[in-house]
Amino acid sequence: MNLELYSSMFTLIQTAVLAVLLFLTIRLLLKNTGSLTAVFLSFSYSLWFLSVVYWLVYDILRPGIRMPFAANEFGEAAMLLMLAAALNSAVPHGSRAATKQVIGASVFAVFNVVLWIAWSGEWVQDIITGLVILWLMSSVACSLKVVHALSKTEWILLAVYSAVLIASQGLTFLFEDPVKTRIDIGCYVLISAGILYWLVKLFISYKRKDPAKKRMSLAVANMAWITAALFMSAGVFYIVYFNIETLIGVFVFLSARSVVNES
Amino acid sequence: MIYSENIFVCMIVPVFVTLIFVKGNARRLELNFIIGMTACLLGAYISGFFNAVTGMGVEDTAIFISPVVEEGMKFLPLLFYFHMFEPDDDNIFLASVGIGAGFATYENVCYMVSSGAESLSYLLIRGLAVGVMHIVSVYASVFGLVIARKLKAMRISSMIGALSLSMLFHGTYNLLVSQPGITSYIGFAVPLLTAFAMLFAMKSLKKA
Repeated sequence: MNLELYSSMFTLIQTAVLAVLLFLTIRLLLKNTGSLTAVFLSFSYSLWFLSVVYWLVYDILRPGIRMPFAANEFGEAAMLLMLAAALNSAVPHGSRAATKQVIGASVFAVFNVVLWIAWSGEWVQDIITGLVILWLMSSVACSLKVVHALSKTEWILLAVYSAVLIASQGLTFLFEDPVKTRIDIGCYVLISAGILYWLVKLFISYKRKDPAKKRMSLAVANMAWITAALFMSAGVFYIVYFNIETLIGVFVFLSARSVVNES
Repeated sequence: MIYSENIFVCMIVPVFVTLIFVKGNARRLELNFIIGMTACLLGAYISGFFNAVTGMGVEDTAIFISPVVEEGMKFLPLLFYFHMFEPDDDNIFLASVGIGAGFATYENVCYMVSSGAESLSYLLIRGLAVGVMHIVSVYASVFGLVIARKLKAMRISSMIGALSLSMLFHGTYNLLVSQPGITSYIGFAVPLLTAFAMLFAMKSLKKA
């Protein structure tokens, strides 16, 4: 089987998982009609589900052709925006709850956008998605700070790690093969380490039975990170990260459901 | 080439005249019907502009860009009405149905003028699919606004969420029906199925 077929197969799996999650989210909304978090979560999963269906249909009808600017770009951006709104409603915080962390997250998001534009040349899409990612990452930073999900050392390490990752990604533009390939592999190792770190944090939080708000903050942090990772990757790595995204989608729902049921 | 402006004038004049004779909800519905047709005409201009600027071609523009433009054009007057007049739920839903129906009607007429009206069965399918799709997509976006208002969550994110949902729904429909075969049949069925699902969801929400 070639890579495209694998990709389509995993997209199909994600579609099925999202269909179930969407059904559960709507059920959650119907049981908790006054919950803002449930409303935004329903919006988010509806958009995510439709975006993936769009991709799937596109893959079937026009295999191997790069998708032009389309409605799903708005859908994907709006899905992340709704996720940020769900998190902000679940973990309310003041505008200056985590100034340093928000600045750090914003700088990371801006550099990501610059790199995406340099890779793809798709200005409009990357700026729209970038603004949303910036908002999502800022919301995640605030909620992580409010629920004390990371220690001071972890925040510093995260900042250093993010800076190294962005610098390494930037270096791939300065060198030619074979050095470029080596840096690329190094970047994938870094990205994967980041994914692993966030997943481990989430699993530990579940094992410790931390408060639902903390679990949700970590689950959405995982989602923000995997989204950035997906934008920075291709080929086999993209497929692996894509499947992790499906798994994180399940955890986001589970943690958000706990928040809604507890409130 | 079709003379869409001439068709537009010809279609709105009788509806416009009846505005004098009707009152209340009937007048509201007719006015929104006219707004829907106007949104369709303006949407076609904007899509044409994007086609010229991006060089995507007429077909690709219709599949990928038009859903974004058309849903935006339908949503803007509703957003204006929603914020400026603060209508109750029934009135905003009525307005959305009027705009959706006006949009779909004008689009169908232009389609028939440009492509012919020989096949009744195809036009019936198109009428049921496109007609319902435009109404469902705009109704869904208003549904989102109403829920957000009820929960005092009337923020930009709610509006963007509602609009994006209708854009994606419309975009998926356009993509599905862009090629003949099984996908187009699925595409034609999607608006009707969604309409039933929405009716069910609304009944459940009212019960809750």
